[in-house]
Amino acid sequence: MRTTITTCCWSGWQRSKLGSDLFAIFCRNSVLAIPQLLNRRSFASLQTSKRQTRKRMIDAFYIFTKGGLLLWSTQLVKVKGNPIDRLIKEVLLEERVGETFATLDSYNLKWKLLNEMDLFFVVVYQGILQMAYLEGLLSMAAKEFNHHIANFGSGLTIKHVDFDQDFLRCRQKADKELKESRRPGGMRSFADTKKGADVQKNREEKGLPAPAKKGKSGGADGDKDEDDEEDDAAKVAEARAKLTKAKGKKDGNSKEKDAEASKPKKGKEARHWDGGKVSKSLMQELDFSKNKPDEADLAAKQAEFLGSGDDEDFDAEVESLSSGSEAEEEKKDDGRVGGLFKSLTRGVKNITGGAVLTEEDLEPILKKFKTELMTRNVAAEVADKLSESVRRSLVGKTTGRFTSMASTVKQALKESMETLLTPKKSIDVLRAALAAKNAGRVYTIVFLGVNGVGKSTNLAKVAYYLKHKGGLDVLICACDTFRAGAVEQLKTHSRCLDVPLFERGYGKDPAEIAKNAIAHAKSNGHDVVLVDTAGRMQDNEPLMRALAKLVAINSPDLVLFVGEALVGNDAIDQVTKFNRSLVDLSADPRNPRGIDGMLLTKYDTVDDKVGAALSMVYVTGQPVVFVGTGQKYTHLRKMQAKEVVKTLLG
Amino acid sequence: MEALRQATGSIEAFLGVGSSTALVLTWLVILLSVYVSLQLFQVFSGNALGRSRRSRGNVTLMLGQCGSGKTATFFRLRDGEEVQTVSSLQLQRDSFPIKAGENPDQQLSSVEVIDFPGHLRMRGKANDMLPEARCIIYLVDSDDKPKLKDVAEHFYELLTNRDMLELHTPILIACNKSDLSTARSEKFIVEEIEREIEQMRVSRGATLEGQDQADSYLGIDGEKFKLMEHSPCTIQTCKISAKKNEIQPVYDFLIEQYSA
Repeated sequence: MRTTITTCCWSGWQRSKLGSDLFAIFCRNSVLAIPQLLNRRSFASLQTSKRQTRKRMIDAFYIFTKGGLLLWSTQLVKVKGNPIDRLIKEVLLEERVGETFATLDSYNLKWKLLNEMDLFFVVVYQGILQMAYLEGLLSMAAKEFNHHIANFGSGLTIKHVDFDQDFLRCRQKADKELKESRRPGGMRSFADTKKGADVQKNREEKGLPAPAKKGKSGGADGDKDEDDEEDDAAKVAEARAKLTKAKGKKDGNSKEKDAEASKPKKGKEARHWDGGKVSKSLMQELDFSKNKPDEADLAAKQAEFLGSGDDEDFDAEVESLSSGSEAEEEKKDDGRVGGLFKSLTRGVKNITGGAVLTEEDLEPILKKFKTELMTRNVAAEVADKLSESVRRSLVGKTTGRFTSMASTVKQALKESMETLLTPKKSIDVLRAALAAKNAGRVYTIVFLGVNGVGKSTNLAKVAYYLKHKGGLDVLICACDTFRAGAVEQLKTHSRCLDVPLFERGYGKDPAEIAKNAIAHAKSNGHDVVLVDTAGRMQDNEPLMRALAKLVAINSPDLVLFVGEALVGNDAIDQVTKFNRSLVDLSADPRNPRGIDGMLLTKYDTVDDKVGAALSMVYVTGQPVVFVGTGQKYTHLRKMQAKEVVKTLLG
Repeated sequence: MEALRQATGSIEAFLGVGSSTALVLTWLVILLSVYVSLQLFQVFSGNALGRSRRSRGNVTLMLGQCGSGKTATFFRLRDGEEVQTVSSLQLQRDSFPIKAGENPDQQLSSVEVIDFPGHLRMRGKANDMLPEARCIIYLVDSDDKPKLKDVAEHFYELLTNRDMLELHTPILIACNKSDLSTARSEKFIVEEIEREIEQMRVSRGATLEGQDQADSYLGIDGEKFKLMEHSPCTIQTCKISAKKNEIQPVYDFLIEQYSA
């Protein structure tokens, strides 16, 4: 009995244990499943919220005038910082209006300029959006806004516009267009494309038969094969006929080819492997030497490969390619009378003024100015971008009274170049050095550049300027530990200038030397440290890294890029790469140090080809601090923006 | 008329040309001599009286650093309303009446004001407009102390500018944003500017090749620079707030300048 009970209990307990296990398992699973369930629910809500955010694609939209009035703005999402302010200061005032797209911090901005009303439309967004959507939105908003303010009049009377409803409409329209464009369409066949249409047209003109179209949805396979075979054979015959057509080939050959082409496909013939005597007929059959290439055959083969030079198909293709230009010429012929009148009015308006500038007017004028700039040693890319920016700002404007279009463009170019060459921050090195002296700091300047531009020479000039005109205590640091004679050259300069030199010979780490020099200056009471570095090519990765390390470790007050005025298109490459290396490897990624200013050397060797200054300033946005004009210590001066512009524009 | 006929006759005889040609020639000679004498007279009169032949324009120029409130003040002056602004990219100019008070001689029918962008890159263009200005309103952000360095630099450039030295255009320093709690007083701002200019006298005085030293000197050698006494133009200061529409001092300044 007890055993029964025990066994019962035992089994019961086992079962209960089992049950409890099962229960435990069940509990565990359900507990584990809960977050999944929750996730699924939250996932669903995330989906909807994602859908919602996807709808609210742009972050903000601003409309403001060139004069500084904010006419309307909307912030769909709270915008951090002030991207519009940065946009104006860093892009629009830098004559980069033509780019219409910029990235600042985490925001992307795209803008549109309405020249007639001097209005900017800017859309701010994060992430990636389709350009077509943004452009559509901007142009629609511009049109709506135009309607809106047409009622209010013009000028400075409008200060704030209630644009909310219209903007919502624009956005909805743009969203709809985007959705429609996303729907996939079918592939076009060749005949539906423009090129196909042109080829077809040419074919018709020449009287050629249209190529047999293979039906897409064919019938039975067997039929299809037969059709294919017939088509192939017909095509081959056609091609061969064309090849042999014009030059008077022998009929026999063409007939032979026709016969060959029209013969049905031969099956494989059985080989005769008779061991015994070969019959004469068989010998003849097997003697392929009979079909020796004779004259007629040779001519036929030549025709086949060399062609008659009169291939219509090929011509049709070539014509379709050049049909574009033909169409243009036709248009010109048609509008000749109307064009003459138009050109007359344009000519008159050119003298009296009051003409509205259009793209066609600006194109040749800007091209002329662009080539003129390039002959003055401005880099091609910079001249291009500058004329693009000027073009964008002039399209739609009316010329003043008695000013020709050329002079309007010249004036606009002059103004934009002057704006570019005017420094956007103070470049008074002496004042900054004096301020640092008053604050008890050591003012450090680093000179960097490619080989042979004149770093050491101009460093000596700057030392002379700071010492004799500013009364500062200067220390020269020789961080060029590579070039033979670099330290000796600086020793000579330091003796001439009576300025101490900090050097550690050749082969050492320049960053270390610079650090020690600054410490030495601090302890010995020097005011300014001028650091000379070795010249290096902008493509040399390890050397650029070493330079960036030097700048990052010592964080100098002024990083001067030394460039020579003789450099042409390489200027932009040099400056961009140097700047980028410094920025990429700077000590504080949130506050990257790039090039602070430029020193233009050998200015006396270029007479009027002073374009290098413009190229370098355009690419970096930093000013030219000094200009070196000779070999002596006093041959150092500041750049005059107006003078350079006058030389460039003539 | 007698003299004319005599002259014509003499020219006819001398040159041996027809009578009509001689008449034309005579007239030409007369006109030429009149023109030359007028020029000489102008030159001599200018030198003798010792005053500059050039005179100031008729425009009020609003200058200042970026973000000091020029565009906002411009619209306050014009329409009396508050506007939202961004950094200006180009100048705005407009003529409008000024009403400082109820008194008829406290009102002006039309004053032309130019609001110029403060960005450094437009500085060259601003300097080109100086000859046109009858007076200058210089707005300073009272809240922004680090900016005072740039203000001082701009002032140095203005006070050593050739046009300003010739025309002696009066300047009003309007300390804007005075409604903010951290705004500095006028006295502080003026002292700060004076201190910076004092430092700049050394650095700007150190001219490089191609620059004229006399051109860039300010104040009296050996004495500490005082803005009110040593500047070539009359300078006044005031406190305004464009946001709170407290711009009465500007009205008074304008009335004073334009009625004189």
